[in-house]
Amino acid sequence: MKYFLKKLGTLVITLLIVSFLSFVAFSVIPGDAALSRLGTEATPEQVAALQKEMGLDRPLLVRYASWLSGFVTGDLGESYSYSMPVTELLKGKIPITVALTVMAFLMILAVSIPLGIFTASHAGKHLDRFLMILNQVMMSVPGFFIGILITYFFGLLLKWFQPGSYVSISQSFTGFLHYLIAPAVAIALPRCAMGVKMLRSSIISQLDADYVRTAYSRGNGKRRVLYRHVLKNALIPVLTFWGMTIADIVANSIILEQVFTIPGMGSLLVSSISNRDYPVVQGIIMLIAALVIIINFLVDLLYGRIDPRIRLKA
Amino acid sequence: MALLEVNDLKISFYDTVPPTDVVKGISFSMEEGEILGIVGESGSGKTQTALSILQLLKSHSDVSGGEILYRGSSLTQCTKEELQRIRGKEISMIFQEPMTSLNPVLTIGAQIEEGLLLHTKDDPKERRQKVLDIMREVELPEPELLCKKYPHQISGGQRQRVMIAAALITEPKLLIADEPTTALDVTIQAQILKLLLKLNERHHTAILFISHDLGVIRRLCSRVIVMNQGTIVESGTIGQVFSHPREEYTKKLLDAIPNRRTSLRRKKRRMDLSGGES
Amino acid sequence: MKAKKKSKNITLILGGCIFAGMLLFLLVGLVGTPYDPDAMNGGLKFAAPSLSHPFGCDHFGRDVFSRVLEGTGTTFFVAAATLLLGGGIGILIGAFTGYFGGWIDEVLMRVNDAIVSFPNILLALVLISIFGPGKYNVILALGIVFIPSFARMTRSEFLSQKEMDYVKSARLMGVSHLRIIFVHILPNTIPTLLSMAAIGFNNAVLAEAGMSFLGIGVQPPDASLGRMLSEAQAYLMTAPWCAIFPGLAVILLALGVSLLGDGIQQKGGV
Repeated sequence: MKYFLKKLGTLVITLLIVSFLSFVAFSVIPGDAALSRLGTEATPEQVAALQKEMGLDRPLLVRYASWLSGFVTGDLGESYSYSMPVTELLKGKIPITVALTVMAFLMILAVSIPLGIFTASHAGKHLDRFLMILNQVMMSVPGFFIGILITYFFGLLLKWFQPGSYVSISQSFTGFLHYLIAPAVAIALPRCAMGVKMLRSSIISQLDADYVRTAYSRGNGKRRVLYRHVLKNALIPVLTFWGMTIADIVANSIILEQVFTIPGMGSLLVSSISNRDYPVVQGIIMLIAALVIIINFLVDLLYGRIDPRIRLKA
Repeated sequence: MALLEVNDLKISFYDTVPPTDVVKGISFSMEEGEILGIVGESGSGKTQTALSILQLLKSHSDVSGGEILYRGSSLTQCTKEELQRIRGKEISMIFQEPMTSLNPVLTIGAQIEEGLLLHTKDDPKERRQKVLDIMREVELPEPELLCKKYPHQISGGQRQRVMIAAALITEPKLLIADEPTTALDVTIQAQILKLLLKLNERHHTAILFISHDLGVIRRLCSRVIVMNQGTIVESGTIGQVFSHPREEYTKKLLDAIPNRRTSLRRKKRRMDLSGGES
Repeated sequence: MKAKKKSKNITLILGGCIFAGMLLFLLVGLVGTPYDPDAMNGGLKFAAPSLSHPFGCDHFGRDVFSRVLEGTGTTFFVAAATLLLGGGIGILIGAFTGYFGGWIDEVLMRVNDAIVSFPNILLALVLISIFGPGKYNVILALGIVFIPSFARMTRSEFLSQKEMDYVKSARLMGVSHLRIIFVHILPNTIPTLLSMAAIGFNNAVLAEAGMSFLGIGVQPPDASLGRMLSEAQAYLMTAPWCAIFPGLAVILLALGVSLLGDGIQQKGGV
């Protein structure tokens, strides 16, 4: 409980720091928000009036406080280019990103855990060596290029799915999921490779530990040593990696949405960056930042569950 | 028939070219219920000898010659399954570092219980009873509470008691103890030695005790083997070796024991070395 | 017998070959491209790979081989410059904070930890949205993003090195702090820094390609592999070579260096 509260405290503080930093970053951007909205032909009086209307004449800290209270209550301001609340804009996009992330993450777990265990317990053998080189190749392939290859082979040549014909949730839920499989695979593949590498080296380093020798001395077989004794210990460092992977998937879905023309948060972010629509950019960045921080918090809690040394020390 | 018989055992390290021999053909045997000590400096091959009995050598080292017989059957020739049945059931082992030798993420109770799980058909209730019994026997306080704790939550001495409990819960015929008291402070060390003696008397468990400290060996063992650079330089009963050491090496080891009359001799030598000024 | 043979370091050899091949490719691009990368030729629109145009032609009839040569050059330049900027500053920060410690070290490392947990590409996008797109802004943005990871790595190396006897004896002999940092300790951290640099280069290549693919990275007239890929996507069915060759270039550029880094690490220890 003490551990939980301590971590919860860190969570809140990090969220505050990150939100403040991002707020400041977007406040010092050259080009006043009011000016960019009115265009260069506006008179100084018009600009001043709009600044007042937008609250830009108030001190930074006051603006931050009002923005923060807005963020907490779900009010992220108004988009310049769409002239509608950012929250409204994002509402429809979040389920897409969430679905894509969950799918890709499950794929990564499903592939990298068994393969990591397999390569670790066959370390040095030919198949392991082959897999490790294949792994290295996979890590160097950009996700969007995998996306393009998938589009070409499975979409255009084999026609397993129709590239560019995104199906929204409201049209058909299964169709929606079906369309997301290809981008999820494209995001997952390079990260599967990293996951295998991480788990493999973590298991191998644990196999040298003294407690493994103890386990063998009690008459444990190789399998039981691996699954009952080593795996839990080996997963501890890999947890952090998985936490970072989730954040990484979200970030990379921005690119993959472009490849598969999915109208998700990523497409909105990219177009908002091009249009200098800062409230939208800031809203999305804060949303992802909050996600990253919350995931780190959950990883910390999971750590506590797996590793008694952490849970009981705090 | 001897309980354990080691004939012309050779162990080599293969991480060098050519391989290095760390144990160069040693032979000894042990009877049931006996406490035999092996003493030597680090690098003498005593730990490798201990590990080789249960085939626990690291991957870059291996038995390169000779045989190890447990009740007449070879441990170096037997199958993996046979070896697994012997490990922890017939022969158990405890190690130098009780902290790293226990699994940090499993409870103490689970680790003590494991031998029963692997080697008996006891149901959970019987297992729990036996765990509590053995914990009491190795004088661990409040067994019900302690068995839910994790290794990092208890003291070093308690950890070694947990190791002993886990090793002895299956009532093995032989316990191999590889420097079990080296990492502990002197008072705790004495308690653990007393415990081992008590368990030896009560259950007639033979103990192969490895140490670099002749003082510890003298308190515990009836016979001792002195190893140096992979060979046995001297062996005999404690009385023989201590009162009439034949080899120069043994004499040096005896000199290294504190609180002995020889310490006078050492003091004198130290003075000689420093030029006798002090 | 479990004797282990000393196996050849396949990773190192393979990485070295790929990297050398890519360097050669880069040199060719520096000397000159067979065609003007921007020259359009309506008659050659979507021409398939042939002897005169080994990688084929794109939707404007431009020679893909020449464009890949130039794009590889841009990507390499951006990645190398990013590495110099981010690595250089990161190493400096890590060296000083690791060596001197103190509250500045505490604060910087807390900030570092927070930044490192965010995905690279996301931070780069935030910075690009502030700086605006373009080759040099990409270098600046990615460079800044890379500082924390280099600082963290260098710091932990310095933390362990500064406790070593050779540093203590140098101190006793009156060697200045600056000289100890740069002449005594830094050379000893090179193996770690090299493998770190390999990872950094790999990430920089992939990030640049990704950002240019999104259209907010390197801008025309600078050729860019990422942009070529994004343009090629629309004509995937008619001219797959427009996508495959730039993609291969990105992969080989990243792969060669990361294999090289892995090989060096294997050689160094474990």
